[in-house]
Amino acid sequence: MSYTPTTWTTGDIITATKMNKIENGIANAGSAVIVTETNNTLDKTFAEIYDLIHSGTPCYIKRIEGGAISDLDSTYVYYIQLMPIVAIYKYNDNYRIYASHAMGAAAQSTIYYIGSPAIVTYQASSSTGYPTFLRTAYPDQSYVDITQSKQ
Amino acid sequence: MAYTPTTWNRGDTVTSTKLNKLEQGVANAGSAVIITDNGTSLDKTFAEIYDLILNGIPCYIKYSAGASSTNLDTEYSYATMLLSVVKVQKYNNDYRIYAVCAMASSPSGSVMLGTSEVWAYQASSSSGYPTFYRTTHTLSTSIETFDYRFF
Repeated sequence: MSYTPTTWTTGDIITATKMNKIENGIANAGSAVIVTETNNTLDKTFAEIYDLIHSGTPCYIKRIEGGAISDLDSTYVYYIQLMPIVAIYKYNDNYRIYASHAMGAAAQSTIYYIGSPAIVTYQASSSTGYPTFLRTAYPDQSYVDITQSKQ
Repeated sequence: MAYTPTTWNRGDTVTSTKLNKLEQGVANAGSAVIITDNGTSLDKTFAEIYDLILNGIPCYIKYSAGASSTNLDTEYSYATMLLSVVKVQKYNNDYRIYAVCAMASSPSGSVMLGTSEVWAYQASSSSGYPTFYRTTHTLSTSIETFDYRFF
């Protein structure tokens, strides 16, 4: 439901009803939540992320890496990932989170070094645990095609 | 972080603390940024997009493919895409942006299905407006499809 703003006029009385309308408008505004990965570990528990996704709040995993790659200049020494979480569930005794990514290294032996579709998986051993990086899945370079058109 | 609304009651004092919480909630609400691909380039520079992603602000690239496809009716004559930016980085002297998309035409036979793909944009300087570079997608011969939701 889209928010219908109140038009305030000088002299209006600030009522509890109008204030609560604003408060709930903000709460329902669908702000995305950023989950940060540091040293392979997310900064929210599986249960926290599960509740966010379950309630329809978009979540992104932010990961910053770099500094050691010599071909990055001093201003942009980091490459940054902001990966939308697309699935979350418990598999056997593993609490898993899946995020969509573009992997540069998949086609690294080509001259292009461009992104391939990839899924990054994180896993915790309990719902109260902080998921850690498990692995990345991506198509082998022999299973991808590179085009110069938007399709 | 999801916003926790204040419950206002008649007679409450409107304090600066509560108003500042409200203001911050507005600032954080729905803060995704739409970057438009106008067919020539993106409408934000690499540096602008880099800073947004660095600050954890979700960015989407919006692109409308046009009315040339005969299987689209007049009302929905444009294939509109909203691609999530998942990575920004400088590679050698190329300033690149990667976004994930669902490619319809990869399994090109009778099945018009989306497959995972990545669009790459590139600028020659951090102050440049990135232009479309290439699409990487999974080959149709390596794709499995299901008529149910596969976990």
